[in-house]
Amino acid sequence: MWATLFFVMFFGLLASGMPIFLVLGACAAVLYIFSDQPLIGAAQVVIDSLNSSTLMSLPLFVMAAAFMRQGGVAKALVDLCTAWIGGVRGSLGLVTVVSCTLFAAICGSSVATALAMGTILLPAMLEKGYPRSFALGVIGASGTIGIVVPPSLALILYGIVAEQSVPRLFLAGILPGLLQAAAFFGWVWYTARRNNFPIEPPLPMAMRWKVTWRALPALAVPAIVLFGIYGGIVTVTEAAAIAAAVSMFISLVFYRGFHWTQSLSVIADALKSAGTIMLIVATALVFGHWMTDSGVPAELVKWVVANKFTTWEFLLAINVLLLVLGCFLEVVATLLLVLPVLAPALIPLGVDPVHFSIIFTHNMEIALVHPPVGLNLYVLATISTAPIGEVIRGILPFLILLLIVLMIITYWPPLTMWLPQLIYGH
Amino acid sequence: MNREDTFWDRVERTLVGLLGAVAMIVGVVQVVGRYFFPAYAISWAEEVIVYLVVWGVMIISSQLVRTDGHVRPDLVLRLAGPTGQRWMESFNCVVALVFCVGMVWYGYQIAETSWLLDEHSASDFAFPMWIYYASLPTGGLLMAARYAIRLYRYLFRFDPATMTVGHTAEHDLMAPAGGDARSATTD
Repeated sequence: MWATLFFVMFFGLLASGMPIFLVLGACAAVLYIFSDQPLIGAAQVVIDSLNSSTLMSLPLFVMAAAFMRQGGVAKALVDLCTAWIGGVRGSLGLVTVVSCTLFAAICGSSVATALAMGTILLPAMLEKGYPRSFALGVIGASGTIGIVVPPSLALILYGIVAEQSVPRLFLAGILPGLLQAAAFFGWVWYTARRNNFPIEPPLPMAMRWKVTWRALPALAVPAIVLFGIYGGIVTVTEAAAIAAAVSMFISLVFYRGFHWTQSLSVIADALKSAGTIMLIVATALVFGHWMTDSGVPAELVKWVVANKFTTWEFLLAINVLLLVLGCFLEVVATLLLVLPVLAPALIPLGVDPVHFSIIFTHNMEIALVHPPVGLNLYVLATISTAPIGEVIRGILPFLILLLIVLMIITYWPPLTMWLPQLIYGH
Repeated sequence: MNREDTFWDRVERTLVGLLGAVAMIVGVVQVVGRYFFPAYAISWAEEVIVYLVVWGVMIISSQLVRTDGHVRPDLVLRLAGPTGQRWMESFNCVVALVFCVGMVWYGYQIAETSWLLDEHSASDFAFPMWIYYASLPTGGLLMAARYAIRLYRYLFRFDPATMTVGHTAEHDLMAPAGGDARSATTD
């Protein structure tokens, strides 16, 4: 009965255009009242759930991404990829895939990746005569890599809600992210040859090294984060603070994308972006707290076991559910709504929570590029002034590739689990 | 609703910028101290980062209301037309005001109880927890003020040209035109 009340209220309020943190907060408050729990308990959960040092890595990584985006780092990465991939047919498309993967390793956000790369690479591809729908498709789809390659904001949230080690989740995302990039690379290469896309003239070797030298400070950020965390030198939160400080330093000193007097404004904008997530996290965890007490996850496990669902059937059903939810909700809302129900049920159903984190995140990647609310679609439509239908047409082949990669991630766990098990053991 | 930043906005943004900058610096100081200046090393950086960032988020939540930056789906709103949107937005403001009043009331009780109990954090830093808890009613109060202004505008100063979904002038986030006011750096 409570679940029905929650879902009716949740979707009703959501339809009215109410902010998600408010919808979750209002629903949780009503559930607390109806189940005779004091509301001060809900307020205590809100403030206690924010008192998490792991959660603090999120605003600090967002700060790093904001400095990078404002600092002109994207241009340095694009120049680097163009220098080394030039001379191949369709090289600008290939540059897009590789640049997005590199930028993803810096910023942890799909939309920021698509935005940063789109503003540079879209005009360049259109100028060289690439079909607009193809250019939009490759940028939008490649941008999604940002959410799975570490540092991933979605994986930080998953780690908090499902109580998993964030460094382990980061490692799990590397190979699936690279597989996705390789699939896109292959498709772009094939399409370029079939459609006779232009070839960029290769740069002389001296020029290539010059461009590489200029991109080195930007590449230092993911290197510092990864070596810091996996070398056991810093915690995830400390790594995020260092990433933010280094990003600010290189943006000011090397790339000079903004004046130092604008630094406080960039930080305020970053905290504002992170604030949208953190308020949802706080109210969603109140709901999650109620959900755990209500015994719904235990009922779910009982139901799945009673109906003799196998693990693969369960995973297939969850994939379908997440794809459907992705049509209506955005990434953070889906994660925080669904995970409190599913997380306690994973181990009893034979699913490793680390493996599941990447299945989940990959579903969210797909949600970012499929209609009607795929955010990357709207970002690209906005920066290109193209109709949304054209963006969708361009992204369709990549959507199919994403679904194939999802199936591989779901049904071949070693792809996800090999690296974390290699570093941390079983 | 395309307004210049007021003094109130500038104070909020500067304060949040400072809180975020100090959080970043404290994190770096802890790592540098641990490896290069062990005699001066601190161990409470992550705790302080939590307090600074949560205060920052609670203060900036007011700006999120002002700029319509809170994440929300607007598919149904778009179908509603200006009059429908006006009443739906007004309803949302009323629910938000009730929620914010709850945040202020219960947040105040939590902070007051912590103050009366002289509660401190368990670390060496022994931070007075009422200061941290006070961020909740402060955030609620600031958001309530913004929602009250928003409600007033929808009820008495409604301008369909600038206050319906699809108008992006007030969005200072790089969100899709008229679409969900979602941040460019978080999804």
